[in-house]
Amino acid sequence: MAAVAAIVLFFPIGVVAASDLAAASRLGLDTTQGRIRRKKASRRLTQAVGIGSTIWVVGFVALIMLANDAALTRAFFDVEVIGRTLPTIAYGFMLNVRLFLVAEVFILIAGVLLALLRSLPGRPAILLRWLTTAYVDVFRGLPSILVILIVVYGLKRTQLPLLSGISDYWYVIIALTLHYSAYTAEVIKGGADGIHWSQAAAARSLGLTYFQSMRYVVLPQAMRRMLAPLLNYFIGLQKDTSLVAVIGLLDSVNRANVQSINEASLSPYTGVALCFLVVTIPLTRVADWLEKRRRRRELASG
Amino acid sequence: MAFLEIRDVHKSYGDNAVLKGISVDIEPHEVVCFIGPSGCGKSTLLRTINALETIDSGRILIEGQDIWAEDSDADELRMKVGIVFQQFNLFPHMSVLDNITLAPRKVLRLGRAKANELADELLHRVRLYDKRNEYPDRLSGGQQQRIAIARALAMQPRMLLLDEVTSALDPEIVGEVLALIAELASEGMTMALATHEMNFAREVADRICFVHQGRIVEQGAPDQMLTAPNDPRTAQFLSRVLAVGMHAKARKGDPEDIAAQ
Amino acid sequence: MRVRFATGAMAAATVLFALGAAQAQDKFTPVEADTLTVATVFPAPGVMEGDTPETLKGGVEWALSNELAKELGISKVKFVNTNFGALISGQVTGYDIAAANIITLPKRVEKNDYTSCYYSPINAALVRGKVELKTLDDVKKVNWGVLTGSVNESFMTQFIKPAAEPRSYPSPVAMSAALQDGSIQGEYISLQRAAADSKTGSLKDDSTIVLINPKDAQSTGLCSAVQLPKGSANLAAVDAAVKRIVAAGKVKGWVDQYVVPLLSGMDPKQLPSIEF
Repeated sequence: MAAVAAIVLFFPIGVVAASDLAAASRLGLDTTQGRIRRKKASRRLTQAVGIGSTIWVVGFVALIMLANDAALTRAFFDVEVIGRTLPTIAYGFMLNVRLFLVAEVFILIAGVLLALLRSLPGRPAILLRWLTTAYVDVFRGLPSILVILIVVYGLKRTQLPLLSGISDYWYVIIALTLHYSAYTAEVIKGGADGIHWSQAAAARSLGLTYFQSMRYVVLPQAMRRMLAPLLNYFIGLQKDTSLVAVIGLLDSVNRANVQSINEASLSPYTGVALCFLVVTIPLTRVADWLEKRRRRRELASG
Repeated sequence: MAFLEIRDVHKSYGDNAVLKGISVDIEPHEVVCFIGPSGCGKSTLLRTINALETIDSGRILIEGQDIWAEDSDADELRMKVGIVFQQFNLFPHMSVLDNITLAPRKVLRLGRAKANELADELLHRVRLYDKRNEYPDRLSGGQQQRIAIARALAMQPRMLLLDEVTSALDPEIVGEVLALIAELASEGMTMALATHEMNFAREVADRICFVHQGRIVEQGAPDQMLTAPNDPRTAQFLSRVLAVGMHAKARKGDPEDIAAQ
Repeated sequence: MRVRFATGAMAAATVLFALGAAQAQDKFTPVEADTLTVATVFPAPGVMEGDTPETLKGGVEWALSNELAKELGISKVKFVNTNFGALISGQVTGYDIAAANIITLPKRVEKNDYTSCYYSPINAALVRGKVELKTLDDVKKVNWGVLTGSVNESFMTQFIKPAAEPRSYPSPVAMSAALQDGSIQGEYISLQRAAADSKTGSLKDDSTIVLINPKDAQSTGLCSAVQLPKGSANLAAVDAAVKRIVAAGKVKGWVDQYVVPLLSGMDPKQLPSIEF
């Protein structure tokens, strides 16, 4: 099977690998020679598949970019248009950045709070536990665009003193916090549950309160493990900030909407994509590096 | 008045009844060792004493105060009774010094300087002052347990509970931990230990209690208990354990389990 | 008897053939046999009424599409909802004509072909409360909301250029709610939308409508034209048909039929007007 794939993907090495495999089976896998041949074949197979896939993928991308007189490229990669519209789109991206940075702070705080309340021990806390569970269930289920619409247009309508007088920007922060804190709370609770019970027990038996033991002992340890899922949600949050378009705010995506009409081109959207990638790709690399560092530390302590 | 009074305590985990009406008193400065086959409930018993586990019925009184009474402050009580577990005691993300000073700073509200002083005293006492700034992952099992004891002592408890603190250690280092415990005993610390180390129990305990299926079947002075127990069940358990005691020294593990193999 | 019948039939056939031939000079080959595929954006009150392609009924462009089909000798009309940005960028394929209040701006002309104008929508500003709106300078001072991709958005961002960037809403309901809540001071939309919105909620007794339209829309090309894919062979035929329809006064008739009722008695000639 793999041999066929190798041959198809990259003929030269694929053929050599296949012949090695044949030789190996002739010699038999119980002989050293046979096994060595098999190992060689295996390596060649991987090479073939690797080189071949790369060539095919690059070729495919080139194909779709050049097909039909480079229609796709001209549509999305009109460099002049991108250049002209990038300034205003980048300016709009500042709104996205402000939104996700500020929202993330509130989301983490709310997430920790919710996670703690969810696991509050004891009978008197039963109502709190129930409330927070309901909150998490509801807000995990609703699409964030709905939450934004309900918060922005719903709260304003109430005409209540505090709730109806704040700017749209803060309504969006509230909506995004409501939505994403639910996910974050689940991740944090999962992380905290993953810490060995004797850590919390040892902390409690030293006289620390539930909140103290969470704050100083459990959560710091859990945080290291929760970095990856939390980061995923953070990236999702960054993308969801573009939903402010529904209330007309001119973030990068909505500006791209406007610019694309003005320029009669779809290339402004490429500009938006660049803005987002400039932020998300380094973030993921940082997360990977943090994860590697944590693993190294953990293995060293064994 | 006894320091600790346990009266007819029952505890089940779901359908599984672990403590079935256990009663025992511990006097101030007494050292009591609880022995028994695994699953007999000795660890659970220790954990109920400082309210880490709830009980289904019965009473637990520390210095005359029912720990589960309405007006009892569980956190207060936990400061009176310290506990050290079999493993995963220390907080891996903090240095040894921070491990020891955390509770004094946050609960007793000592300033950093005072807390560090206290910690250094204890570190000298357990002879691990040179590990002050190390992280737990750099310490051997025995060193970790000694630090754990030091950390428990930092809160100046009136009683220490030691739940099989040497069971997870390599035999060569069991000794250093036992030595520390013996020192504490000679200084008059009230202690309750769950242990397999029969020889150690004989040396250090004032009283040995044999726990079997959630009840104390027999208790008495160490020499008497270990050489001439009254109850046949005690005798059976001891014979198995002492016979494989030598094997247990070479292989880490619960002598009872090894005997059962 | 039979001979006279035959002669009559032949004469009729010849006349029909001649008519057919005359029409066949401007060739029209649809993408799908005997179907006029119309790319459009709906719903658009007064212009393309309805929520789904099957239930479209009414509106100036709907009527225009059906009339064009007749003029071109096509029996079926199929409407397709498209993304406006993609449409004017020349990215949409598989359609014969597009009618979606598309004004002919230079960049669009580079990417698509256009007929002559069939319609100049009346654009209006609906402002809340005591907003002063007498001159173009007043207009530039207001915080506007516009619909994404609308002709109003193009007018605002490319011609009027107010001091504060107008907010761009994908949903007219969201924009109307924003106007009521005070997030924006005015919305710039079609007159029929303004008329309807002025009756909702807090705008009922507290709003003003001012017409804002380009001078000489027809000659500057700032009027709605039918779009065809770039280089379409059908351009001549469709353009001729559009001109015929406009000359026959049919578009005016449709405006009276579909747009005027939505104005609930408002007479555009009586409303204050600003030109740019």
